[in-house]
Amino acid sequence: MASIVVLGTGFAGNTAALNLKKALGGKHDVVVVSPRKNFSYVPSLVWVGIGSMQPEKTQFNLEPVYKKHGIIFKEGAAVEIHPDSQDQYVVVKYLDGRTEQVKYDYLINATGPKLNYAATPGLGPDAGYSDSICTLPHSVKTRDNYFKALEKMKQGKRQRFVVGTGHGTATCQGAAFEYIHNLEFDLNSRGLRNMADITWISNEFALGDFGVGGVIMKKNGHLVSGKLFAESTFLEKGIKWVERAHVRKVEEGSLDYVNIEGKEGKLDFDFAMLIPPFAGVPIAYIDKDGNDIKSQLCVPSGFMKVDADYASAAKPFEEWKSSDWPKKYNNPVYKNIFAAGIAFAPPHPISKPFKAPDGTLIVASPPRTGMASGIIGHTVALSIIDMIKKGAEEPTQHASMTEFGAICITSMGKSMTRGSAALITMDPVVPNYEKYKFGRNLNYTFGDIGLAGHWVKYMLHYLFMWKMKGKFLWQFIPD
Amino acid sequence: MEEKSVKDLNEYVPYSKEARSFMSPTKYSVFIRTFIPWQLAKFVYYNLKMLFVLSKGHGQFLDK
Repeated sequence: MASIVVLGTGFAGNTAALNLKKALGGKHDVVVVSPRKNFSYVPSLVWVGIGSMQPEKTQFNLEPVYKKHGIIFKEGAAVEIHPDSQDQYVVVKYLDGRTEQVKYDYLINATGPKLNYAATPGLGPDAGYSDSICTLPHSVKTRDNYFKALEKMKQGKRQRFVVGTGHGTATCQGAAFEYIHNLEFDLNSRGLRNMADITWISNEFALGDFGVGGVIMKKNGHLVSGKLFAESTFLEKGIKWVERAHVRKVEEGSLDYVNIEGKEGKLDFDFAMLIPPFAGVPIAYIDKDGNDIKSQLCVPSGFMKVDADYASAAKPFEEWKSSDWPKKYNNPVYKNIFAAGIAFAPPHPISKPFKAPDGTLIVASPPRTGMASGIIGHTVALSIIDMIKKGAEEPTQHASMTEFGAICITSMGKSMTRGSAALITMDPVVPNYEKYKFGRNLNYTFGDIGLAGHWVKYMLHYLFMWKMKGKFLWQFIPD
Repeated sequence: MEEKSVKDLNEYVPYSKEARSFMSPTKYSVFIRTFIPWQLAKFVYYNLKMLFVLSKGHGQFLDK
């Protein structure tokens, strides 16, 4: 009997656990370890943060799901991994302080990110002055602060909103882009738009970069840059913007930034929603002699090394290749340890990095959305199933981000009759300039804005909640 | 780099020093975005388009 331990219950971890158990049945153990027993549908947290969706609609308890499927669930945090052969286990620390050694034959690290608010002084809702929509508690707090700003506007006090990224290497610009448009839409719906100044700040080189190097798409007989589309939405709605910026510090009511040309600026705000940079979840990696071997398994930011070419990061942007990106997602030293979703270390950014004159790195980090995380989690699960059932010594399945495409639906207002969303498909996620002139297959790369996009986003919310609950025919819903 | 504002349309004046590429939706485009019969057709089209992208992405599993 083999034991597969999955760390994390997000898109990657939950997809992997459900697929593993479905294929392996009762002959093998699938153990999920997470400090949170709730699945959180992160793409809809933007609506929670604006008050247009109830928090409980984005959550459900995983314990009954795992009980039904025969998956063992341990509600605790993985604090140590001991990867040496004959001694492979994870140390799980429970909420009451107890610890347990959980042995594994295969390990999937799908912990997601640590939200690294500490990278920018004053950033974040816990110890800083900005809000965030990265977790449900943060989204609820953001909503409450937004409602306070609404009250002030109703009393005739003009409010300044700043939305974007809170560090030069942050990712998830798409989430911030959704939030700023939902904010504008909601203010319009309430008749308060004329009482608000809305400003976007981002580390993207240009609007529409989204950490994927931007998108070129076919539109009305032309090849068009996604930058034009993104800019047009801001121009249409009277949103100002600052791009190529690293936020140096956030204080009560203001933030300081520097851009890639070294110019410094300051934005005053009454409400700021800023996405933090991500880092790997802090876990200790210890060999059989008790030595710290984290450097063998992780890059300095804490994300896990997999079968990517990390030496390529030292090369200039123009020399980056599709082969730099991982395909099978297992660690090169400990081949039975996999990383899926945000937990794996990309070899380098997708977008071109720049530095401010003082050396500050400014680049939108690679996003790993729910769809990409789900596909990678599924791929890793299928490889492990082959390794167990067929005795394969190496992972058998591959899914490089330079091979598979992704669908991104960016909400721009939640209403079934007046709402809209930008629907963008890109194939592949990481531009492959060796294969395609513009980096992507233009037959599968397109974008559009409209009400139908909102319907699709709304449909996917319920579809994926169904799938993640492992309900009837869940396996036929794509990742 | 300067903070750009929609009020500063000089950025979009052709031949000016700071001329930029420019796109903004017309009234027709804004109308059609929420015109329900057209959006229903788009909804069907989007779902078909997504299925193509999904089928291609998931084909990686089969291509060993």
